[in-house]
Amino acid sequence: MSPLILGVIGTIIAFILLFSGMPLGLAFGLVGFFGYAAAFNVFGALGVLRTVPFSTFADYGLSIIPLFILMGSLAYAARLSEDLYDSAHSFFGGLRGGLAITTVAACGAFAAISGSMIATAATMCKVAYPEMRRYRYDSALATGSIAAGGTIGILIPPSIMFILYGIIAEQSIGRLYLAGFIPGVILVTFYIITISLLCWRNPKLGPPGPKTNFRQKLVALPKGWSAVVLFLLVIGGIYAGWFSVNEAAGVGAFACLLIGLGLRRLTWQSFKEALLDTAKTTAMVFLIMTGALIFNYFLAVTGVSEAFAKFVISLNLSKYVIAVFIIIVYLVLGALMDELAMIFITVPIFTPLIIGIGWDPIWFGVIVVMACVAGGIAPPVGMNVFVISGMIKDVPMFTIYRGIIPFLAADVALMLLLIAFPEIALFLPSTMMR
Amino acid sequence: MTVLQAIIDKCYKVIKPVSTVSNSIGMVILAVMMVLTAVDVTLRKTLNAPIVGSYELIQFMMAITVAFGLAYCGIERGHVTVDLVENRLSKRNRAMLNLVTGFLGLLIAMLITWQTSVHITKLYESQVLSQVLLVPVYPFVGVVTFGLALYTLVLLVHLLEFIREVRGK
Repeated sequence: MSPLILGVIGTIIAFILLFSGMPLGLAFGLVGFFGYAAAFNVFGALGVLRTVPFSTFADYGLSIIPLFILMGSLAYAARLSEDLYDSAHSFFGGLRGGLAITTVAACGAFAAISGSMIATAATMCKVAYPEMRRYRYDSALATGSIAAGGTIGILIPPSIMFILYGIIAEQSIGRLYLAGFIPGVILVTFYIITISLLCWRNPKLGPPGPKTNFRQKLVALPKGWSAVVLFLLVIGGIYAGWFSVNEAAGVGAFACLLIGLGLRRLTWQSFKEALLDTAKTTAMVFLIMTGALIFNYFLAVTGVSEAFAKFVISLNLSKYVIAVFIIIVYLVLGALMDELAMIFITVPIFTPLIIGIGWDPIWFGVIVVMACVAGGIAPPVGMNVFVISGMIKDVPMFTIYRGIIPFLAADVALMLLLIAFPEIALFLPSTMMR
Repeated sequence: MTVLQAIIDKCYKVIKPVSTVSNSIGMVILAVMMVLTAVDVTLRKTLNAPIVGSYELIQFMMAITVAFGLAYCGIERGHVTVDLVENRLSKRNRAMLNLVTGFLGLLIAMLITWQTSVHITKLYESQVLSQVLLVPVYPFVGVVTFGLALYTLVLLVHLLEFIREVRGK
């Protein structure tokens, strides 16, 4: 059997195993090992198993993963997202649909210090949902805005998804972070416009919340200072070249710890919980990564990615057509499978093609992460929807999915905008210090 | 109580405390890693005196944090899985499918653990040292092997549980 056919068969088997409910890392590792053994030889395959786990676990560059997760967990434990909600509330709360707008704005701001979508959505379930209920918000709009708001976390830096993309596609994480910033701000704006339009058409969906006067606004605004300081320190530090992305993660986590202690919100218990949460997520991510790296050795030895790229390029299609097609593939996959699985299985296959037809791989990183943003809420497998439905028991899952449809439309609109104007993503990285 | 259930319970009695302790060690090392990075950057920026070998220290600490957290993550079922198909199967079919994927997962985990343990001896024999601090590397591969072995045990117990489910109906 030619290596190329093995590569295709291996990829198909990997998909089958993933959908059979096998833990991702083990499924990738299994196919990678046996595929490599078949395409090359057993000793080579054993050699891959021998070196990959240690070299992955003990990789300095990957220390960024636990440290940024820790920063997000500490920010969550220090309840910084609640402060951001209060700040946003004083400005938007009195508008039509204002509480939903507040939720999205606070999520966007919290996204700037946390890279996880689940933590953000979980906070908003506790803080924003009860208030939206009190003001008789439509439950689809209320839960939809929380679900969609949470997904912004992975687009605005710091973001775990960008890190993973950067590692697999061998791109600078610092540049990817900067590339995600402007699209992130645009996405928040799109969500706010979506909510405003919905409530303008049907004011019953989101009645105005309590009005605040100028003085109240002035008092509430500074409550979000800690998030601003953290963001400027971490992303500003990377941008200005004070420290590497890895160091930024450690500095950010430590600064978050100090802020939490200064505000007297971090207790020994919540600190331990943040560490525990981080350790668990870290182990999970590294298991998948180890398996995915073994799988990548297999893909590399078969040359399937290059062959796929060559084939598509030989079709002589416009690069815009291919981009739209890839986005459709991502939307389908994102709806069906976990976003981590999607990144690990598709990025090695698509990246040579994307570079071959002349798109910037940094731009593609933003597209992939946007696909994860949409996949995080798209039915039937929307991670954020599951989290919310676990926390808010009295709203049926179907209602939440009904609520996210307008936001999904906003996600797709942003992706199309990115295809039309790649500069939205590429402008900031192009100004970065080298 | 069946024999199988008794074995499962016994295994958990040993694995749970060990993985909880090792996970706690990993958590402490993680906190140290955070402080070390912050102090290193601060010293470099203010006194122009970075910590020597911080790069290697972080590598070693990473190996410990990740490896020591694996088993705990496995016990807590922190795995990422795609359960779209699984949820639509009958209880019996789901148990069968779990049995198959559980066996395959255990197989690859055993292979990986075995090969990583081979890596220890290779590094020990060739006396590989880290470049700056000149510390032998093999003990850290040992740590990773320990973490992987403990995780493999968790997968084995999961497989026993899947067997129980298949036999249960």
